[in-house]
Amino acid sequence: MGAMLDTRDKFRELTRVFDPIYQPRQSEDGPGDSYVPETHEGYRKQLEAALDLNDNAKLLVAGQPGCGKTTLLLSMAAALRRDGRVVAFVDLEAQTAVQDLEPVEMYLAALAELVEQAHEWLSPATLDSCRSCLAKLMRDEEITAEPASLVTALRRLLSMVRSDRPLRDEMRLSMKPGADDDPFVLLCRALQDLEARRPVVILDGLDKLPPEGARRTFLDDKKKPMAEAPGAAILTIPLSVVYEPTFNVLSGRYNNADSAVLPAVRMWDLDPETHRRTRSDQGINILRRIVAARVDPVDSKIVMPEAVERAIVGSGGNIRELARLMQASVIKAHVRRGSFIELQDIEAAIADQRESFRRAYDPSFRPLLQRVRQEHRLDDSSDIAKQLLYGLWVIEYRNGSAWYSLPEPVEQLLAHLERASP
Amino acid sequence: MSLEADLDDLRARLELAERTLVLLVVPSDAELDEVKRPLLEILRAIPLELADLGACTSGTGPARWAELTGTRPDAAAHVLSFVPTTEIEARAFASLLNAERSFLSKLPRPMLLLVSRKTELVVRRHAHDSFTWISHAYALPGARELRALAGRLGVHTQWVAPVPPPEAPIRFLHVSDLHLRPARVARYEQDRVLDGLVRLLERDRAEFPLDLVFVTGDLAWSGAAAEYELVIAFLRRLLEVTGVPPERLFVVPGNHDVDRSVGRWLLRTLETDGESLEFFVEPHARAFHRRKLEAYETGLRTLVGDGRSLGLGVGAEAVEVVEVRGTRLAVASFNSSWFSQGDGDQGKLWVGEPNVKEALDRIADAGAELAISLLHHPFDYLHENERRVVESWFERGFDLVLRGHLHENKTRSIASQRGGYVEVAAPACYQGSHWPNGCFMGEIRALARTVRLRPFAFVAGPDPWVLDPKVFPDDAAEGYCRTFSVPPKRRRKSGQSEASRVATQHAFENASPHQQMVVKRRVLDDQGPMYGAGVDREVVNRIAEELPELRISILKDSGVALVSAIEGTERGLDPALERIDVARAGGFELALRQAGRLFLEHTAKLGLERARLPERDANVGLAASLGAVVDAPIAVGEGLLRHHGPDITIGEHELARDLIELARPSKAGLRPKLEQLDRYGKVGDVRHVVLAVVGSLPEGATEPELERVTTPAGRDAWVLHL
Repeated sequence: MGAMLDTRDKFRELTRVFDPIYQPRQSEDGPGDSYVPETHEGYRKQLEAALDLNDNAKLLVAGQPGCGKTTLLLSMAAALRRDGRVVAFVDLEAQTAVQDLEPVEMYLAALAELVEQAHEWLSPATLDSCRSCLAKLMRDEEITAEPASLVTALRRLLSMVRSDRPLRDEMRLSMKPGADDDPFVLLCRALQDLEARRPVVILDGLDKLPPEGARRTFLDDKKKPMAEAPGAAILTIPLSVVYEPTFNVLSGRYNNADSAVLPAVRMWDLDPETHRRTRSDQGINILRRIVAARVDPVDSKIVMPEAVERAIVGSGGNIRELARLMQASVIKAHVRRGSFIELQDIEAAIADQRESFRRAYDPSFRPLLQRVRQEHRLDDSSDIAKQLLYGLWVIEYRNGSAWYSLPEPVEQLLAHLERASP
Repeated sequence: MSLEADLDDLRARLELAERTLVLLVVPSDAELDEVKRPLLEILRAIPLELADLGACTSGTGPARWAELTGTRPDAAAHVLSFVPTTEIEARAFASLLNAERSFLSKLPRPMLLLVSRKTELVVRRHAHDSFTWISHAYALPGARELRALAGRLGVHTQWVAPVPPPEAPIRFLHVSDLHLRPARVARYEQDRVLDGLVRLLERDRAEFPLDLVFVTGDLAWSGAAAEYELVIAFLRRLLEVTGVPPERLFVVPGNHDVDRSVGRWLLRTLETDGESLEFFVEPHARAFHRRKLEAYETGLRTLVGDGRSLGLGVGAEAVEVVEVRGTRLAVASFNSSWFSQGDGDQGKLWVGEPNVKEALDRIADAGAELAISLLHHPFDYLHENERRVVESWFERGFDLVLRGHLHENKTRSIASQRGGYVEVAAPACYQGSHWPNGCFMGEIRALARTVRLRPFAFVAGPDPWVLDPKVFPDDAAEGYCRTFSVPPKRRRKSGQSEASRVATQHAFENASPHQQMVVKRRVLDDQGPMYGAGVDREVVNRIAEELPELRISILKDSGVALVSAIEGTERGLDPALERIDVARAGGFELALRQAGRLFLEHTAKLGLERARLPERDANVGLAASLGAVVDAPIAVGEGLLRHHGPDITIGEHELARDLIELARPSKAGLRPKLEQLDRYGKVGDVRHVVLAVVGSLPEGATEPELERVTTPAGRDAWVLHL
């Protein structure tokens, strides 16, 4: 492929694969060719072990924006399917109502996935209850128990209630918990039918579930519907001030493995005794491969190795940040009519990022940023600390315990500020 | 980076990227539109096929963008801008970006989102996740610098719009003060004047075909039915010779259209804004005064039919929208003669500020290009309470104001900080043939925003109506006609799109109680829209639902002082300060103590005697204190007005968690109140119940007392002594 493209086309392709909104998902089965399986290897193994040992495991994956949650789970879903397990990957963003997610829609979305993927193992009775539930909700007796027609009807229902609040409220009100056609009961029955296939439901983007809903769905000691549903489930939620209440609710129960939080790819190792950090070859290698997986199909020589190294340092180990820097440097190279992405391009991209941080900078950030730089700690739970963590001013790592570091643009900004007013 | 370097970078990005989201950050919301134009010109000069998709509201998120871009699939990139009217709206937008981020991958081409620095910060702080989906945020300078740059780049020539074909004007006739009556001598004279006018119009029709006819009052002499027979006959002839259909005839009543014998025992004028609100909002309040105009109404309806305003409709009903050759004109007919009753009307008349405001909303909503207002009297006849504010609403919303009454022509163009209008006062059209009589014809060019006036006067002789050179003596070159330019308007639609309304409502519902209260109070406090009419309306609806009395009472009593004092504290003001989680062990008790302390501190500071504090004020005061302390929604119950529910509720509405009931120290003891709490406690999922006894501590106390008791039904309860 590489030889056939001219520089401009190559730059175009690089801009595409490094765009933050680019989703390399080529099929429902996995995250695409450019996925590097080692990215979160340790974490992934823990999740896999938990799923392997407990068919009813309920797991939570949270993490800073852009650290690779969705990609990790897409790849796990593909692996689980290869093992013969039934996996319903529910993208809650795309399927359910904005900012107003109720468990009902979540169950229906999961049901749609299960019916689509595993109808041959579902009992006719389950399919029929599903049909009668839909017929009632949509007031349409024409719906048949044919799986394809069920899936279409489910999707249509979800997209209808997505944009229409009164309809949504009506649907929610018409549900009787525990009744035969309660979507949750239906989901449980489907999961029971599939028991032999060891089903896993992945709910991606739980951030839209309000804390109260999360509590009712996953934690309530009297009902705890989802917690008791058969089969395994993995929930993901980005860490941010907005979603924190929901995350707090969920992590109270789902503190799987050693942590529910997916850290950035570790660029540094911290010696807990001396509090010194050293480059982590392993982490840097992974980041190199993440870049290479996207660059190589275009032209493996087009990015200078030192530029890649610099971009990795600049990203702090956040994968989406790394992609953003790479994209920005492709643009810098194009502006100066270069044919290769060079160190100067990455430097310029990092400088741009620094200026963007400068615009959002608040003097009250400074003591905390300085402390992170010196001690690699962010142990107060003030709002400022949260702002810094979720806004990617500070990157969270782990080896054993959590510790923190500043990404390069923030380091630079801090140095500038100190020079200006020590 | 310098601006040039930034633009190079942006250009390169747009050249290379297939799809991406780019943020363009301008210094301020106020400058956003001004920056947008030169910016687009510079980018288009690259050249680049940019499609400007206009402005987003807080309800227009990526899902909607994906649909919008479909309308311009050919473009190389799309541009949207977002200007929030409030911080709440900006946050609603940020959370929409977050929620709909997966739709970004459905955008066909790069999307440039133009926002202010302030909005950028809100998105960065409140939608971290979505911020990482933005590939780059470019900081742009102000409009002046961009224009200068465009000049340097040589793209400024493109700003000159191509010369449009000359606009066909909309032609109108404005007459006023006909004073028709059947008396014999008068008949002869008025026929002479009016027949002459009809002949003029007939003759002029080919050269000056009329589209609209406006009559600004005093059609009759004393508001008697017999007079309207003459009026109708005249108007019918006038429409006939001009070919103007009755639906394009607009009439308002004047003081001579009022039947004074009916009005004799009616209210002479209004005294307060409150009365004005009631008079102009409640149809039944106007019923008696409307009878003064019965002959006027009955007469004119035979000509124009039912369903026309005729100055009798108020608010939105005063406005009629006509489309003339593709131009949408709004005509608002106001009745300034509701309170006319003989001599001495000056300073006693009301057109009704709420009436004018609603009319302007309707005009904006209808998307009118030009708005005309008809009323009989000059503004200085209005009551001093509303004169100034009505005038300023007129400046904000109307382009052409037509009036009569003084029998003297007067034309002027008013430019003010709000906009401004062209005011035309027509002379009398019949006041006896030896008095000056006259009228105006005019040409409206809505695109060019001009009004050209041709003044006519009655003189004796075989061709009694001639162009009057005395009105615009300096405009001989223009044939003694004058062209006024109409100041531009910024009309804001009252109801935003449904999606945006929903988002606003959502943001409002999810705002902290403190923010909600601030919004409510400012909306109630202010005459003009503060938060965009969408939020305002939502707030007013909710207030109307919650507390019908709040509107009138709460702003004036000690409760307001108390609430503002509490919310004005550092705790109350700063939403970022950590609030107590009442679900945490011991959290509730702590919250009660802290809120109690705040309450005591501020009642003391304001010198309010707690024992005498009206229950409603105590209630909102305590709710505000809780709002400043806990991290949960606080609802002030309907108990304020009707005793249906607890006074204060903490927690989600339908899952009410903690209930607080206010009480007074009483000899009968607290038992009845505790029983009441038991009743409330039966419904829903209730965690704590509290009886707050206001006034049970001596004045001067700074520390609330907290006591644990058991209710008659055996429920644990707190008693908070304040």
